[in-house]
Amino acid sequence: MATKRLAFIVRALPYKTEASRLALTHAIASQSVEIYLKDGDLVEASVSFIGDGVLNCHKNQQGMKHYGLTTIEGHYKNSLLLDLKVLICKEDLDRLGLTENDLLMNAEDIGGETNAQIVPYSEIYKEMESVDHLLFC
Amino acid sequence: MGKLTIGCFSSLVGSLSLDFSIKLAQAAIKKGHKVDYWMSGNATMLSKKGQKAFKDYSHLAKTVQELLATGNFQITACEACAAARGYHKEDTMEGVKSHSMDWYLASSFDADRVLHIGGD
Amino acid sequence: MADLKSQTPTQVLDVLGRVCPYPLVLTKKALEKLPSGGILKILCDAPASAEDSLPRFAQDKGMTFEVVKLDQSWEIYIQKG
Repeated sequence: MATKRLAFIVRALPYKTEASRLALTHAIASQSVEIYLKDGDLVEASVSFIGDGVLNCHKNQQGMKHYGLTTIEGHYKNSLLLDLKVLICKEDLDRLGLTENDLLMNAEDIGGETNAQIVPYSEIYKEMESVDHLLFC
Repeated sequence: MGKLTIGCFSSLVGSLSLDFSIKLAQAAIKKGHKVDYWMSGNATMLSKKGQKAFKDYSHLAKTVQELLATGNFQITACEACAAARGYHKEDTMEGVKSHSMDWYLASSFDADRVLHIGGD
Repeated sequence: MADLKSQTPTQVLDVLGRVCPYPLVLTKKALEKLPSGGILKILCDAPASAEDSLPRFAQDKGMTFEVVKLDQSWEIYIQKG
């Protein structure tokens, strides 16, 4: 029985490419990967938003209205619903003039109990050092 | 010997990231390692059969077949990403599998290295 | 094979239009809340989920399941042990 840990490090802008969307859905897939593994083996994923990637966490996205597709917000909320660790870089928020009030911090409206965390980059670096694999998106 | 898992999300011909990652897979297999290759997003274009080779454009289909022939290479397309782009099972190149994204996560479980090449 | 489709499902989970990872992840969540013996009916139109991930999951967990192919989609019935 073993657990492998992956950290998805999201730097990509929302809606410019699908990179950040796919990072979230792939991280969510860690919750169902057991069908391919031996009993008790797990893959655990975390998602950290750095650089311009912090913009993926902005609330009130209008993806459906302007592009006719589900917003990244939906995937982001589902990751919280499924208790994934979601970290957002404080220094990059400060650089962009964003505060916690601009961001989606929880998924309470869909029954989620885990909150996203705004942390200094040093904490994200610690997360990167602690995992088995880094996936830059 | 080890196992390298590559997840590529970049488009065929338009982005040389796909070419780079296939070259990396080739180099790893030449050294005796195994490679699992996951195509998601725009990279699912590589799963499509009937790709035509031109000198002025990258052509990876032949290389993929050569890698498959080594027996140390598995290549899988994300079924959803492919279907969204109009590629279905009947359009898929010989030897290329089609699965949901759990396959990639599972592959990373016993990989020595995971290389995730994202977007565009 | 148990004839699950002729029984009234405890819950219907509609994942039509959703693709991986959601069909399986949402199925797992729904099954967690289902009482023992309850039947979950899943409406799904993603082939990889309907024909591979969902049956594989049910089989791994020792749950009785049935997959019914319709024209453009599937109905999957899973009975929680």
